[in-house]
Amino acid sequence: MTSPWKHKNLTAGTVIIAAIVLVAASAPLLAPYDPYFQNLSITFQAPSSLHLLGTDQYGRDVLSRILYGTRLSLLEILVGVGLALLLGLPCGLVSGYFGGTVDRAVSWTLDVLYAFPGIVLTLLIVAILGPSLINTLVAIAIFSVPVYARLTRNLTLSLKQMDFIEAARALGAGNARILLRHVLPNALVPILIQATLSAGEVVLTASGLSFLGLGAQPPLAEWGAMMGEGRNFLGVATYLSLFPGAIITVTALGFNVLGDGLRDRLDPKLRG
Amino acid sequence: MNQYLKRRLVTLPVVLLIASFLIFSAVRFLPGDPARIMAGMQADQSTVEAVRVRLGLDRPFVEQYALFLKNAVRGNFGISIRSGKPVREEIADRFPYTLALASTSYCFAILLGLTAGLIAAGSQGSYVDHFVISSAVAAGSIPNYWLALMAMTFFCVHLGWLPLIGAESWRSYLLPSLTLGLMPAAVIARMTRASMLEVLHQDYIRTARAKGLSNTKVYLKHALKNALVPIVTIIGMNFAGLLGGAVITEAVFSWPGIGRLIVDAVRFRDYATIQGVTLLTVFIVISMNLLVDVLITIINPRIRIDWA
Repeated sequence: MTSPWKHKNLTAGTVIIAAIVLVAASAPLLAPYDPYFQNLSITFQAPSSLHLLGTDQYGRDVLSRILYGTRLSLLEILVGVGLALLLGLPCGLVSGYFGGTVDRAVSWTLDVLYAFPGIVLTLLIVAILGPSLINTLVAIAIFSVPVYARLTRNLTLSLKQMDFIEAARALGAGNARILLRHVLPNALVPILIQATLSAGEVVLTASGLSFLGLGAQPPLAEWGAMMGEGRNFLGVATYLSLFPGAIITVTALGFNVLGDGLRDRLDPKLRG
Repeated sequence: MNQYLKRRLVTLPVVLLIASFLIFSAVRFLPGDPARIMAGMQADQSTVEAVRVRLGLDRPFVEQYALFLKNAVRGNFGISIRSGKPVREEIADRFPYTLALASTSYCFAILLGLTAGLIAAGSQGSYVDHFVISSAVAAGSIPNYWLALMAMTFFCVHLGWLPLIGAESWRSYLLPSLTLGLMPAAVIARMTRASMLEVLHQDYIRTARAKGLSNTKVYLKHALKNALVPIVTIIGMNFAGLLGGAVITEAVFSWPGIGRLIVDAVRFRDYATIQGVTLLTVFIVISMNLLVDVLITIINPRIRIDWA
């Protein structure tokens, strides 16, 4: 049996992410208070045995809000990464497999999208759709599309030269069957690694935009939005920004370490 | 000039053209009257009509785009509904601040990233190597706005050593530059280490060592020179990320640059400013990518031959 210490990154990343998923699933059981319940008689309570991470300007329990925020962060990742995969994967598969004009058109589009700094493109889209968490996630997905599309395209390009694809074609398999049954399953590992590494980035960007007031809107218990509200009370109640920021860091770190670990374990060629 | 660079030079205006079309179309796709949107929801009917005529919104779509391009080439992006000033003036006032912040951050990132990466590669497998790699992974996971807030609380609020906001003196640059530069520094450190390790295992490095060259000479003259291509590429590619990071850092430190300008513009739905700043950043990113391509062909002449 392989020792977990042989793949330290994989083990550490899995533990962190599993803990976050567990917290998200059992937030109602773990949270000591209702995350949205306001009690103006206990505003700005410093961390104590009653409120382990203190209370905010409306007397809401910070720990409960952070615990519930875990659900929103996982939702951000699910929507941000899922939507980007949904759009990027077919683009990359079709572009790499058929080549020619389709490939050129897709590559040009990706080049254009790459020319936009991610957050600037996100701001442009948020400006059009209006500030909200879901619009921010759509925007993040759009700027992540080129990453998945280009990776899938390159993988498809090399896979379509393989003998087993030729064999499938000789047996009469159609393009759709070859792409879905033969190319896609063989391209999944690097895509999965990329998705894990991108998950951390999605959390950082989504909470960054919420911090600026352009993503999740108050009173939603979103970590970035909590920090955004807390920044007005720096020096007085620094913990309002300290704890949500710390949990964002741990989550991003978890996904980054897990991504590194998966890469080392499943695709050592890509090891950085 | 080699074929590749010629192709890139042709690509640059085409990509810019498509990007400008996307940016232009974005406002037109909004529900409602674009003239009303550009003039601001509070504007009276005569102002809306004036904007409609000035921006050519009463003309066919293609003609409108041609006019937008003609104006954009002259740097004319219209009037900001937020400040009432021409967007060109707003950008001209703010851009030097962003340029200064981005430059100082990137100098710090390159210096720290290269040094850490070289040290880690030179001591592969040691505690120093593990420390550098772990720090780089951690630094890549810390939100720069959180780091900025915590640093502000400690150095500005509690110790009072540095100014809290603004860009008045060199001391104002310290915290924004360091917090903005940390993430790119982590990426550069990891790439430098990986690239150096790959080169250090090559035969010519063994030969250089066998000739009796000092470690420093082997490192800087033989290894680093050959490891530079991926490092320069990642430095160039990360510049777009740095510009993106500047948007949030500027908002945290109330830095009077174009990052804060675009955030304020999004809040006020000031589309003329959004269009102008977005097009400018796209132009900067594309130019930066081209500059990296030129640099790479200078660093590694083999690439020039391969692509020719």
